[in-house]
Amino acid sequence: MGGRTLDATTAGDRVEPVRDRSPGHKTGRSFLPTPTRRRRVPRGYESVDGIILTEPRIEAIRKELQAILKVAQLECDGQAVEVDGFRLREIADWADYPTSLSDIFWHLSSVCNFSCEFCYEKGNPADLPIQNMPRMATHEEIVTRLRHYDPRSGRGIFSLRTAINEPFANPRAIDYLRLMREKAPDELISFVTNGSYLTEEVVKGLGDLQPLFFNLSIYSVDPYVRRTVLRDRKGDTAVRAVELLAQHRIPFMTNLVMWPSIPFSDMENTIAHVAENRAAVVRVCLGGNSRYLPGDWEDFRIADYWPKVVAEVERIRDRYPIPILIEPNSFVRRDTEAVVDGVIRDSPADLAGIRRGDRIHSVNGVAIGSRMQLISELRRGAKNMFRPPGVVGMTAQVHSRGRETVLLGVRRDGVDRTYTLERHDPRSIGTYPYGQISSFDDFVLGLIVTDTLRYSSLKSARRILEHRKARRALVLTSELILPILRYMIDKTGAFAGFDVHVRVAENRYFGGNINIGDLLVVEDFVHAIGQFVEETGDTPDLVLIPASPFATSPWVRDLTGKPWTDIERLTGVPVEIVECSPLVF
Amino acid sequence: MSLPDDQSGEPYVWRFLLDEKPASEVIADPTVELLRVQWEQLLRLCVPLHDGQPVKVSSFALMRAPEKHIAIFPDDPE
Repeated sequence: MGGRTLDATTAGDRVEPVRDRSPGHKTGRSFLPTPTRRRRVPRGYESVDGIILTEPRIEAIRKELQAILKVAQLECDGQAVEVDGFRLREIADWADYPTSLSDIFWHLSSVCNFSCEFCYEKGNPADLPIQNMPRMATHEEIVTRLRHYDPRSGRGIFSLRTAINEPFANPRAIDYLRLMREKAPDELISFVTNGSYLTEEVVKGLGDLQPLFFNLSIYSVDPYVRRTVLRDRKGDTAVRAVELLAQHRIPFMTNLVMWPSIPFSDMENTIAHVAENRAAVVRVCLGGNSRYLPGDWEDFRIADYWPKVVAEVERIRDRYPIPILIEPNSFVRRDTEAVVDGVIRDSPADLAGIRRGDRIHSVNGVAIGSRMQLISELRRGAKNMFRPPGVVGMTAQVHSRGRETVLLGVRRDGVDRTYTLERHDPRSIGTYPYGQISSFDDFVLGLIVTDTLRYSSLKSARRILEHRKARRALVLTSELILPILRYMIDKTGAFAGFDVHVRVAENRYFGGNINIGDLLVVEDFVHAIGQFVEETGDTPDLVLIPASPFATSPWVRDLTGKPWTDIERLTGVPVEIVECSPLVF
Repeated sequence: MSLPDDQSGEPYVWRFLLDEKPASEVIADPTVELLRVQWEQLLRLCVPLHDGQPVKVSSFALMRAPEKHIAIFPDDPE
């Protein structure tokens, strides 16, 4: 066959090698992913990188076609025909993927007009299957996605997994939001934006399209930091956007990433700015880098840096009437206590006098034993909604505005008090931002409670141990989660009677100082098992791994596209997966 | 009646029987039949393209025997 092959890695004319400037690359350690060429595809075709996690059946078709074309020539009326790609015959047959308007909105662009020094997308390994070429959705794509989206079932066309993007880089973003509103007038749409396109006209447009809630990744109010660290060339639009959003009463939360080149004074100035303009929540993200992030970060030790950031947040937090959260929260909250992490200004919880640090011991007479139980009780009746990638936190469904009175038992300084709170208290409903978000399930009563592990995961793990009659088991977790897991095991004796070893699986695939469990991949677990066997000289008869690193894919695959079952195949050790959700904070 | 705990027993497994001699078998050479069946099934799921445009396909030939044309859908009218 004289035509081009179906292999997207070579299908285009523009193939560029990826330059790996990481320190790890120089060492040539064996676990490094094999550097691959950046995938380019001809105009009109999709990169398969975007669907390997979300729709592996398409990749299976592609690979089978590629293989068969090596031995058989397709023909029409006896004449050879060239083939260089394929499309799905009936797209409606494939509209069974869990999705939402927020997810559809995500597809508007995979273009970002910033180039943040700390952008984790820049630190992705070269072989990470993600659509990372700048891509703007066509009008036909968005319309087709909307046509096949069923808001009742939350199903539609499969997602393309793309790098973090700026949706408003698509000049028709507001038009598409209007189309989405027509499709589902009451569905909450959430997204992440850097704010640099939020001009007065755009913000005004957004005001007519609620319910919206988004994560404004403002990062900094300092013009120098914005210019040099974020590479923001659009002046003070994002900083000014905060004021405009408040004027138009559009609710939002704010992200900061603390990074060595951003001064603490800027963090406080930024928090002051968003607090003054009534952002619902501000989240201070502790920066980290993979080994592939451009730049020299070998001396960046999070063990030194993160505690300093946390101490600074503690020093300033009481100056501002806004919940300030740390991400990852598991770095600062190493227990499961049902303690309030913050209260939204003028919310029913705020008006009642509930404060950060209060311990909730009952909800409507139900005794509360853990933070996750508290969250479940507060959101009783709420449906677990699909959260689009990158939109982290506080984006669950909109709840109907019926009368909802909640009786809270609160302990402070050893004294118990009882509060009666009305979710839609008229005194709160008239205020911004609570009035706009009172019906979002993530903001019940204005209480901010960060998530953590559930005790039900431990119960599941024990049931698996019993069912498999495990004699000696290995439980793998992440560096960040280990203290919480130990706390829970000690508290419950969940593994009493079993020889269970709990170990950390190192983030070797991403490397650098990454320590997040949800970024663990199959090869990290395989390595951890091998290391355990080498250290102890004994093979466990069962390995338990958390489900959350495989939660990005409905097909239960890791971020590289490998199914969790590969761990058992590669190690020869029986492996079971323990249900647990990715932590939002 | 309540549902049993999801971890308490083995999950039900749907099992499907293979035919000893598939009714759809139309070509004596099993290797060629393998390829024909693959094409038949793939073309029910997808449409081949060239330069982004659909390509009409009715048969195939083995690279090592290009003179022999094998119909993918034997039931198709000539």
